[in-house]
Amino acid sequence: MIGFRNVSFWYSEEFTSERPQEILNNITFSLREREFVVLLGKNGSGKSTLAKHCNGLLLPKRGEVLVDGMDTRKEEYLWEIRRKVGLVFQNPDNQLIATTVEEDVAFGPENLGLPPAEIRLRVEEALEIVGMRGYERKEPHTLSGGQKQKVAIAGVLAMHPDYLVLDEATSMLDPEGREELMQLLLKLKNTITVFHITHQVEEAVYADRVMVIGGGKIVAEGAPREVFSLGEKIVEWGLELPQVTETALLLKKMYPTHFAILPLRVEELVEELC
Amino acid sequence: MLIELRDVFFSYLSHTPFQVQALEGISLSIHRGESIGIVGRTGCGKSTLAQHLNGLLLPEAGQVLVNGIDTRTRGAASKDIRKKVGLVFQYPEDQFFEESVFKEIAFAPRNMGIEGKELEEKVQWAMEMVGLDFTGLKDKSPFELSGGQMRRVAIASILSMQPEVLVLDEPTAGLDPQGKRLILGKLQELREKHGLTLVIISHSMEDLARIVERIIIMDRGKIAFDGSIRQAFSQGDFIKQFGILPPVVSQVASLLRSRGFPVNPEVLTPAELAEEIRVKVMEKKERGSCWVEA
Repeated sequence: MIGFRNVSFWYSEEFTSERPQEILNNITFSLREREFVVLLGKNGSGKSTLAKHCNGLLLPKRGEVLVDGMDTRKEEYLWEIRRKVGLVFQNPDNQLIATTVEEDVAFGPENLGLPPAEIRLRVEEALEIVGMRGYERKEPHTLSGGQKQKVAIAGVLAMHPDYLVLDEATSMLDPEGREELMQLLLKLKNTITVFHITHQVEEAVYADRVMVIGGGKIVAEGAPREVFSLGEKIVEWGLELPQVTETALLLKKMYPTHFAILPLRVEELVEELC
Repeated sequence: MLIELRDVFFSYLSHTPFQVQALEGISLSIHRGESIGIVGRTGCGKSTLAQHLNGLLLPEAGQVLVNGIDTRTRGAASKDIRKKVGLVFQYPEDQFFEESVFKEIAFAPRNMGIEGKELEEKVQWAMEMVGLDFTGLKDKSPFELSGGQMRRVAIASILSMQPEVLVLDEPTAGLDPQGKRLILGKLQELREKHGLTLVIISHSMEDLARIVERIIIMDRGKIAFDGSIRQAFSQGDFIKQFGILPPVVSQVASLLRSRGFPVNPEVLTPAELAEEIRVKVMEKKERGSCWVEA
């Protein structure tokens, strides 16, 4: 479990006397085992700052973050925390460092000091999971954005992590790449915890749980259906509703007896109507 | 006709073993006042095409004509083309370098020799066009602004040249839904009130559905489809082969049709879809004529 307890964070501004603005303001939540959680929030809401707290890239100014009981502020846990919690960022071009795909995926396990045979096994396994077998000798720059993100995820999986945190990892991909990545995340959630940070509401439809962050606080949390039934509130937080839900809410105004269960997906809306 | 491409070919790293054919025989016409979306997979040639529209890239074979002038013409005419067709790159804020919003937006008109009162008017006009407060923001560093504001400064810096055509490469990338709505709304206004022609490259079909009427689907350097966006999105299976997923509303409409409801497959927004469902599904049901699966 990753537990945030009353976490506050602000970027220190040494040269001003103004009280710095709290980017995270007393945030408490947990990520449980094999859970698929989506965090939604508009630009500047503190999403990325929160993501970087999950593996100790940033440390809370107040409160604590515990990864399977290990405090991220304790240096002796740092290596273990970084192995357990893998981060994938927005820009696929900034994350791949080696000259071939397999070398890139092997980078993490090599740093763990694993024997070569084990490293080879892990690289194969990780590329298999993300569907990139056959690309071992390719140069990363020849891949599409979606493929690069999959390789970045493989690099994390090769560390055998328990948590995968994705900070707007789909935002630079084309529709196909985005769809493929979402399918991969759904597959992964059967084995590890997936924490996906985005402002694409359509991606939140598939989550076990959705959290909305606004002004440094968690302003809504629950199953996707619960959260999106907040309707107008979602728009006020700078987000939007999934198109199916927006359509259903428009119809509900005209036919109040319909849509007792708010549809989120295409099939759900069609079933309700047929 | 504003811009015309005649059988345009272009490749990167030509005359090397690594040659990549980016455009392969592209022909198309862009008319005044149109709004056009260009879509396709990463690497399909969208951005290369966009950079041909103002002569930033020149065709290896074929011709690009802007108001009848070939983009390969040298001298004053080519300068004029750059003024007429403004290009806003992907993540344009990465290219900011001035210390204030005013200077950033004034850069291009200044290069054109405009100074003083006229310059100030142009900058103010451009900022107003994208909904940025002139007095409140002109002296701020562009780097202090939010992502959505920075994007609008970048668009204003191109608008300050008063182009006739605005070509935007992923104008909403990385923005949250609120930021997106604002930018798309402003672009819409520019077209409707000021007659600007829009060419927008995007991966977001939902965004395009809000703002463009015509869509060009590119596939491996060629045009796979050029026509109405409503028509394109109503043909889900056809456009999928080019990596395009129709917006969710189009998917609902097509599934309802397969169940025998005669809803219009060309709906683009939740409001349009809800209205179609009201008329074609709910009212029929109320009259008691239940539909059986087709």
